[in-house]
Amino acid sequence: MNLPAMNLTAGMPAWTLRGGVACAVALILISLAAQGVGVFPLGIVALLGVLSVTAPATPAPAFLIVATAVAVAVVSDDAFDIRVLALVPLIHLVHIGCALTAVIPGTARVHVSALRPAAVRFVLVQLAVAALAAVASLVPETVTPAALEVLALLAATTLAVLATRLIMKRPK
Amino acid sequence: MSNRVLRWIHTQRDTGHWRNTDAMYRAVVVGVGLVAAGVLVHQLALVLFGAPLLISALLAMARPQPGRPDVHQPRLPRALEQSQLAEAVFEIDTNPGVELTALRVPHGKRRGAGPVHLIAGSVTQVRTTLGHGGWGEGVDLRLDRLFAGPDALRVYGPIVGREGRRTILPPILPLPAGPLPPRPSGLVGVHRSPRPGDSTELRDIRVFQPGDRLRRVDWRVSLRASAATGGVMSPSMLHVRERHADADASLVLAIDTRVDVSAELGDWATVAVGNGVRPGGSLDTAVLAACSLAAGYLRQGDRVGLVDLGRPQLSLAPRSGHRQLEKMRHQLVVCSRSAGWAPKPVLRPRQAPAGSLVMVLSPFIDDAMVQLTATVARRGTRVLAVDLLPDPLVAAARDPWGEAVLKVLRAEHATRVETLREHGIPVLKWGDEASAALRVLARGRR
Repeated sequence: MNLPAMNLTAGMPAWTLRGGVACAVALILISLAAQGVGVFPLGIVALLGVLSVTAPATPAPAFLIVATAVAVAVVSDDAFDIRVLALVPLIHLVHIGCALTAVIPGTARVHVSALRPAAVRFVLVQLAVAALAAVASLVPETVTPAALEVLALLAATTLAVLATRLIMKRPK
Repeated sequence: MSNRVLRWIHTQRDTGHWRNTDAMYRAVVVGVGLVAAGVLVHQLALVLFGAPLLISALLAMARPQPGRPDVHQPRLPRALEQSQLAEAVFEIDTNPGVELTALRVPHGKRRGAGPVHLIAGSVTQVRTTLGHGGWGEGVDLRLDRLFAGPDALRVYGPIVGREGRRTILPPILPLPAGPLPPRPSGLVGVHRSPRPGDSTELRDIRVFQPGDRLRRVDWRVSLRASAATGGVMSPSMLHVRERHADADASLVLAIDTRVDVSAELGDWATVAVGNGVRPGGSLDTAVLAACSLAAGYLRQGDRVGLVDLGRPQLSLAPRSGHRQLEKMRHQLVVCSRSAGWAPKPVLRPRQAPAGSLVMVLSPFIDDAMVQLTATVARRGTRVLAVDLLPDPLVAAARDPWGEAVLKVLRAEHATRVETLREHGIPVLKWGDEASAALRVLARGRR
């Protein structure tokens, strides 16, 4: 739906978006600390968090997400722990926040109406992931059949190949 | 590197097409990596971390590719009054696939191209106002833009917009114009000429001469004269009332654009930001004073000219009318734009016509200005010096010699003003009393 002529207002300063990313990074650190992650890994995650906030258009957010995932995989075996589940929306928030702040200068002004579609999509994606987690929680934890393991490996390989082709494909 | 990779790198640098951002690569690579790693090592947490990234990337890729969005710049006036707010409506030619638009639009009271605004991609018109800020010429529009798809995973741009320059004319402050020395040629205007003419002001009563109009005969004086000589009315007894002629005046405003000094001595060596003129400085005051004086005298039909003492080629010959006022205001902006140090001020004799009054607007912080003003006065031109040195001056706080420098500066300035007065040039300080001082000075010359 096209809006009528928008009377330009001051809007929010762009640093509020970066502030949101910083808050998400801080909550990630708290969650990791609560799971017993050591000081050195926490320091690395914190450093990557600072870099993500100050330079969102760099690989720092990707390394932050990977570092968080590795830290969780090392210290926690229970994926349904509330401290682990809390990281799912936080990581997604860091990803979206960095994506948005990367395309505007630090002195920009952000209008709330511009963030509404992204917020709606965030909620829908999180609901889908929550449904996936709910389904996974219902699956019995037994030894996986070898055929299913091979199928999963093939699926993962196919996913990787498809992803590579998609990102190398030039948008029309 | 293969051609495919080179083409991909070229695509990433081409801002004239839709392209994937770093966030898209992050979403795909990290998303797929975490999901695959989670499957391989049987860690559900990794799958849950990677799934949102992967889903958001797939949603962005699944959206139809939008066309080439653009922003249309409206036609706007090239010159504005300082108090005038020009409304500008920018038409955004957007597409359904565009979710975010980052557009550099002026807004608020700060002059300039303004900040980048991140607005919804569905907005097709953005309305804002231009014209805030001080007078002068500057860039107040540059529609830099970037369009983004969902979650800014794909972008079109950034595209640097074309600069839109606008001139904010210096304001006209109300200043009642005082009388000026009348111009010897011309029989129009509001100033009293020493020559006989057709105004209402009485000049003399004299004996009727051939050529006088009969309606000018003063019958009361004529009858008294005839009664005094026996009551016989003869042509030699007729007396006529002679009136002054109306005349216009010519005013030449000579502004010193070589220096622009403010009250803070510490700022004298710094470069002024914005339009290059220090707010409240000597050049700013000179321009505002010139505008006010020109408006006041042009309104009553006088002829006003402009001389840039630093760059004589930018001067305007004395003329009358509203058009001359507009020309002067534009020219003052041009003069202030090209203001800067020139070793020698210049005021050629032909720039100040005979009978005109030259007002020199300067802070008089160098001897060259005093010499020039005295030279113009020696040519027989009536000169009035308007001192624009800010008062009080403030010494540079961080300079241990600040106070000493200030004392020397004040002493030199006082000497220069005194020298001007010794040459018979009245010096007045620009301010509230300027108009009253002008009246007094003009009356004194009659």
